[in-house]
Amino acid sequence: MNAAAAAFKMQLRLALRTPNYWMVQISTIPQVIIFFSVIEAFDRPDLLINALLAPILMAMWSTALWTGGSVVRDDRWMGRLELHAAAPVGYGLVVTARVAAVVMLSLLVVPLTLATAWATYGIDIRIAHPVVLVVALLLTAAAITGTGMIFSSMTILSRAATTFQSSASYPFLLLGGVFVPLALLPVWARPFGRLVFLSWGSDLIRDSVTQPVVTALPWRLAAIVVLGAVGFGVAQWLVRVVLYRVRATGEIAAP
Amino acid sequence: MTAALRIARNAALVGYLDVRAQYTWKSWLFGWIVRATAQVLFFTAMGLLVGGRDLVLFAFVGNVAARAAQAPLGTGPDTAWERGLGTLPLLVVAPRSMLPVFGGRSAFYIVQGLVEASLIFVILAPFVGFSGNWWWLPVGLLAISLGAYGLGLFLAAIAIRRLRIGNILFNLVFYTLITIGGVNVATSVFPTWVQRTADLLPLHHGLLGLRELLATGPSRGAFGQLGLELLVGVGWFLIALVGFRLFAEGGRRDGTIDLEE
Repeated sequence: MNAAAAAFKMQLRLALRTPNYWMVQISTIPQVIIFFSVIEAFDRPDLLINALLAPILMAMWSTALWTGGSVVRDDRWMGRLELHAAAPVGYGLVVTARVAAVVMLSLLVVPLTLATAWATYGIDIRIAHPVVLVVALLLTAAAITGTGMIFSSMTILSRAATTFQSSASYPFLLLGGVFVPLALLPVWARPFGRLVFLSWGSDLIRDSVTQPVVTALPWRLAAIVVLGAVGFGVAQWLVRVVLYRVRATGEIAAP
Repeated sequence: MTAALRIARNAALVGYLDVRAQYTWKSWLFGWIVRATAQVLFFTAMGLLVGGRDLVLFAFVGNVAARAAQAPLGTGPDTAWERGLGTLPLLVVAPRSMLPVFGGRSAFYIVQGLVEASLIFVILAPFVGFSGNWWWLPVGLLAISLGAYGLGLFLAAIAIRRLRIGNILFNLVFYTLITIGGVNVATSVFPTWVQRTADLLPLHHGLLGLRELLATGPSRGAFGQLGLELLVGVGWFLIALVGFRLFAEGGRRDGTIDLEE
């Protein structure tokens, strides 16, 4: 656990000093305006929460993918992967702690989004169930950390994996219903979307803001937890398998 | 002039080989194109919730066009990368300007933007139910790619000076283009000063021209807009020319070309 805490703190300090880390966060500002200009142009004030939530989840998911990928890639390029492979602490745990640090930091896009919306479109929002909102947001952040790692582990395998890793961004956001709820996607796409934790998270977060009563709350929270945990489990297993493989093939330091 | 063109041509060949080395056809098609297609689909799908079919088709054409602008804009961060590789001191001691080198170096992105955007259009057009003069698509996309390339070179002139902000600048500029350039909503919904800003940036005029070509076929208005797009690109190209000159000469004079961050 000490190793995880140290990795978490180290990544936090590193992120604060890395301009590239802030890239995703800063891009949130124009993205907020994109969604707001659309709902404003079509006169749909009822979709306010969709327009607020989409840039937030997009930034958090991109952070997990990009930073998660670069953590592993940089470890390899800098020759730290060999040391991790030889260390008694599981590498998966270290990467999880580091990704968790940047995902936690990416929650800063919540006030950034609200401030941008307020400054550009004068938005003032009332939240029906603040506690549910906070719990759903934190669980979604945890699930983003666990699942995002699946794609970082792939970057150990090959250089092309970086391209495949980036391919996880928009399909997940689409199936995760971050702007358009899953219920409006074609029927055949919905079962796939239900397997993506993000679809449960985004539905619940929207409901916590707008609905007078949030129905089936325990089940919906459980869905985020279970799918996030599955993602986390798969990611840990993948890191072990991939590390074992590159050790066996002698390609641990290969670019 | 011929020497500059020769340098640009050789640099373009290097750029092409560099792109080839970055991707295998599998990682390009199943990685990059899948991602880019999903991105276009993500914004196009907004029409399912708001705006209906009108927005689906509007955002579809807009986001396809934005893909044609994205690759050439990448000239910015990629040129900064070149500085990290240590190419610059050699270019500074060489007797010629850096612009033909970097201008050629990333010229393949114009082709890449055009091809990728066209491919995404072909993949998605049947699903979104597009009907229009699709055969005019490459003409409009080429103008947009060229316009964006001018701005990309300007970003390169800045990024090469401030290496660490190259990616941030690229992202901010790209998202600004798709926010105010008429990609998801018409630029006319924004305040006047935003519309005037969009006038000075690539994508806005090119997209107006492209939409007209796709809807009603060739017209003076459509080609006029494409002409404006090219003019905007040339404007940024000239500013980039000054930028490269200032950077190279400033760096040569004070000896910071390889050290300054």
